[in-house]
Amino acid sequence: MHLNLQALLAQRPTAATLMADIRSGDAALRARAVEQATLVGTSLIVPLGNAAGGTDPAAARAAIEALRRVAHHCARPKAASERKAAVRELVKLTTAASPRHVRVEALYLLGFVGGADATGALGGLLTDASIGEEARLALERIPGPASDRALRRALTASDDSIRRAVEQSLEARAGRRRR
Amino acid sequence: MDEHRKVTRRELFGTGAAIAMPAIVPASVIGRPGRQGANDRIRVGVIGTGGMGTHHVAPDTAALCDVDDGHLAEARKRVTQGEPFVTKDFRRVLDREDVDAVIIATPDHWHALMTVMACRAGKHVMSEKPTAKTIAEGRAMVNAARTHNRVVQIHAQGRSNPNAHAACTFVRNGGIGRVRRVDVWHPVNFTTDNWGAEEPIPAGLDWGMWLGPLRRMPYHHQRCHFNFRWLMDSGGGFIRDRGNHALSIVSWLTDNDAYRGVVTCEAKGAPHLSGFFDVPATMDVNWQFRNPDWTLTWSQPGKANPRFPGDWGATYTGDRDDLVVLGGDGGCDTEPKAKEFKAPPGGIEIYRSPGHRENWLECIRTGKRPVMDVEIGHHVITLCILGNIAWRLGRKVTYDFARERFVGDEEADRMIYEPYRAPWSLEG
Repeated sequence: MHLNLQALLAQRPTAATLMADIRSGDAALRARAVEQATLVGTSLIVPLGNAAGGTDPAAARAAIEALRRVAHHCARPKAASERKAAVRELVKLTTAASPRHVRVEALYLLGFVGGADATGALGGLLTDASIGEEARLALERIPGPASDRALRRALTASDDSIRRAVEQSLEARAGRRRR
Repeated sequence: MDEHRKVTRRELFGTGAAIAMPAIVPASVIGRPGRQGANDRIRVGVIGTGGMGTHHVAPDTAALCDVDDGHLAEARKRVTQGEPFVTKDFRRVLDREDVDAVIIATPDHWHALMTVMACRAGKHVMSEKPTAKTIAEGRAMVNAARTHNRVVQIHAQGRSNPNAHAACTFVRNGGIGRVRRVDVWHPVNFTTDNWGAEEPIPAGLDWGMWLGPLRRMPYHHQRCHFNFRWLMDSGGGFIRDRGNHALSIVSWLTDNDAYRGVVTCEAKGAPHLSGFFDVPATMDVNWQFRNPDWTLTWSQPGKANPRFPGDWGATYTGDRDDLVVLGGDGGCDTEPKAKEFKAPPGGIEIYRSPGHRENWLECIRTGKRPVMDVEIGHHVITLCILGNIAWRLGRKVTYDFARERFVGDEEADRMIYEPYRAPWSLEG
């Protein structure tokens, strides 16, 4: 068992080697990198997001899959500090510096991983013309009063469709609490 | 089409004065199921007329709905008795007083919402498998059926197959002893070498209505008809499709429909990285039930039982014998020992359906629960969904059927529910 652990640690990739594998043209290396992504953890989130926004579709697809694995791994039970670190990194991918599809992916994952620590950033995006709807969907999923507060703040938005959508989210959340 | 048009109570309940009085008083007006005369015709509308929907369009279909003009035109040719109402907006079908019941054969992400809205509008429903996309949707469907006292059958039609009935009679009457494990095998999920770059939306397709409550995404022909199955968001792979069939038969034969205990679920599978489909290419799932203890597995690819081989099926292993059941849909087959078995006097009699559609229509007339009632469908699809959740999370999950919640996994609990794109909502 001890030897196996040592062997595993010796094989443990670094963020740099794993990203090199993701960007390589070798399908086997990319697949291995996806499998090993959770061994590296949250430091991979932003580099994976950048690769997901790149021009190589195979690398982008592998990066998205690895990103999902890292995010969900960090949200496992009894891993609170990893979850918080993952939220911080995912929020970085929601800014306009990232391509839309990367922002959408990060927002989707924040719906699962995020807590009160994500609601400020998500609330700030509700009126974003490009990804406001995706921010709303993420907030609707995150339990707790911080999400309700973030959604309610958008009820003052000037755009009717945003207000109606936010009302829908608040109704859905209230309905789930009733059940 | 204006997706964002608010659905009013008047529209939902179809009280428009302009609608002509129907020639036959429909079940929805009379009220509860079971009040209609045995010979009264039940007027059926079909929502979603491509794919599986093509099989549901009968010569006397009263209404046809699809978001694709091509599907509608083909379906119209199959209606030879009378002039069906034709629309691209399912809400117009639900408005109609001259439609008593609807068959929903759309992609998965519409099943729950349309079922709930149809029940509120007083329509009986037969909805295609999979029952629902999420566990919360399945629960909403059950609640709507019960609240509005509608007959809701899931079209996982294996339970109407005589061979499946024979297998169920055999196993439930102790033909293999106590069931210890069931191993389901199935071919792998489809893959693609396409990366899904946005394409122009074809003329005649309302992509916004096709997406409905689903997250917004660019049109690509492999995201749409048929191939939506290979995206986790819209399809969930074979386990949420054929899995609904196969596990329906498993649940029936193992008398598991009413199981309210805890199940653990683990899943492994190779991700598909050579194209934009995101369901795993291969998948192995293991469920452990307690009290009684038994194991269920799903393998893609799996190994067919050489004694009674087939493309997909399950081996039921008991403490005295085993039995193979092939398929799980309308094409079920099983071994001669089950087909030749007769339940002993005083033995367990299994619900017999004369045919899945016939059973549904009969239940609308009699008020009896159908063979694949929505609550059974909800139970079965929960197992399929658990497999996908365990795979996506990369860890073992424990699910409590009584509470309809995971045990000690807050992230998994968030996967019970999927927020809807505006303006779609399951709330009344």
